Amino acid sequence: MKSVTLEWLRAEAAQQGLKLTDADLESIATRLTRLKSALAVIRPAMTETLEPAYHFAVPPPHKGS
Amino acid sequence: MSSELTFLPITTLSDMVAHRQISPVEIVAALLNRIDSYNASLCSYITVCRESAEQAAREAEKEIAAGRYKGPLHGIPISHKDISMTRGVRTTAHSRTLLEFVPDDDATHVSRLADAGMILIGKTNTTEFACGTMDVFGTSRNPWDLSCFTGGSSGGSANAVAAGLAVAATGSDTGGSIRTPSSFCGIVGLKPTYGRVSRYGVIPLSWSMDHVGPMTRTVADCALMLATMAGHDPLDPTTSFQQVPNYAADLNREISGLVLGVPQQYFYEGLHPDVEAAVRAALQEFQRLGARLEPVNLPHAGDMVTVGWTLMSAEAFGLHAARLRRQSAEYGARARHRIATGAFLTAAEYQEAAQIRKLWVLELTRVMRRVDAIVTPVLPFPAFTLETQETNPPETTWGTFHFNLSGHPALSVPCGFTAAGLPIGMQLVADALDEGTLFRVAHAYERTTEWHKRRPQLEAA
Repeated sequence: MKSVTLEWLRAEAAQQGLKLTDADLESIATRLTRLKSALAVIRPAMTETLEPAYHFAVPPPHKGS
Repeated sequence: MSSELTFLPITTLSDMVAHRQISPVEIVAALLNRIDSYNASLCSYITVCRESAEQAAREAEKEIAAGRYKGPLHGIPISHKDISMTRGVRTTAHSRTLLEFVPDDDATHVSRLADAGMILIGKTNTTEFACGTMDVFGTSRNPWDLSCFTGGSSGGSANAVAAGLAVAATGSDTGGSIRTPSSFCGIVGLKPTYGRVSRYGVIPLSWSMDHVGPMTRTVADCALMLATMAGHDPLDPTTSFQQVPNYAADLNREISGLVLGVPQQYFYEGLHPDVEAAVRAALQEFQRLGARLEPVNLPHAGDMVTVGWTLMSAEAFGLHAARLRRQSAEYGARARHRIATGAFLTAAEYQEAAQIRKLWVLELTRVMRRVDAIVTPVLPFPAFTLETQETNPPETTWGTFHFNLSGHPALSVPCGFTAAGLPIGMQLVADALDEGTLFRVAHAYERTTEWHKRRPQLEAA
């Protein structure tokens, strides 16, 4: 995956009203590139049935059901 | 005697208090004395509530003497992570942006424990907003080796309990912040089921993954505290209406016949040899106690650290955006970078991570139908140095983010020490709202082992 560029981060930070230095943006770029790349690799093959749950944990235990 | 007192579990202290063999005043004095001796080297506390604790101890002594005993937590000291709001007591989250913040209200778990008679000793050290560093008040040190990290973010709670600077503490856990420091410092720490304990009054990091739980020296103490902290709270709409069981009643039940799942992917790969030996020895001990081990498949386990960080960064930015716009320079670099990362993730990426999370929840739910609990290491390595934490921090959410994502309850329990004398923790995970099984399994193990009885050797500053 292509690295996140400092130019894009700088423009986006300005758009969002965030005062971040170039040193901040460099560190964030490294982190973002790693995260976005890893996420791209594990994308689900099928997405139609994967509405994110509001209740993350399953209901109380019903062993054997 | 006084330092011995600070290492006694709540269950022993409360018997002594109830039978008036000891006064809360003596317990608080012993604890303050130990804090005076060791807080400078351990950086356990950001704020020590000396006068109010002494006053509360005198009041508890009078109440108990007058026959108004409130129960097993009455007169027992408690230390809260400095991310939990405490009425009239500074709550900083270890952030320069909150140095003067004195809340008007208690977090729900703080008020519940206070109503049960617990005495606030102080506010324990945390990484900045539970995701950064500890630059303002100093970095908590591991009592087993002062050159080592406590594990963050509830590091002050963990090292205080381990070193006898707290009888018990509370922590918060978004990616492992109760279980990791509990493992590194050799104590018991519970991340309850999502919705089991109210998060009202806890400075948030991630709405869908934040949890609050107890950190103690024994499993029985953990169960005792959860019973008081848990339950529906109208101030936190995510809390469950399910009744809170009497955990103590089931604690001593045998575990013969229980089925313990051993993941075949990820969790037992690449372990430090001492960690692997300790956790596998614990598995054998469970078998000896009559539990049956069953291999379980969790093929998505290796993806969850990526998913966890994606969701956490996005949610943390959502919560911090306004403060970050106003006061970005006052954040420490690590907290600023981790939180601001969320500003640059796309909505599609957040949604994608949430979909993978769903796959994981389904996978884990299927496994949980077949087993009573899952056993994993908390981390693949023991505590590392503060220098490593500063320059190139290892991934401390390695085995824990998974259950913040799924919401299942997960308990860190001491299960051994490395050759270098550092604690090792194993993680037990049960079905949603089934903390009782975790306590039962962990208590059975604890009764046959001595790990929780070891104490770090410290030299007074």
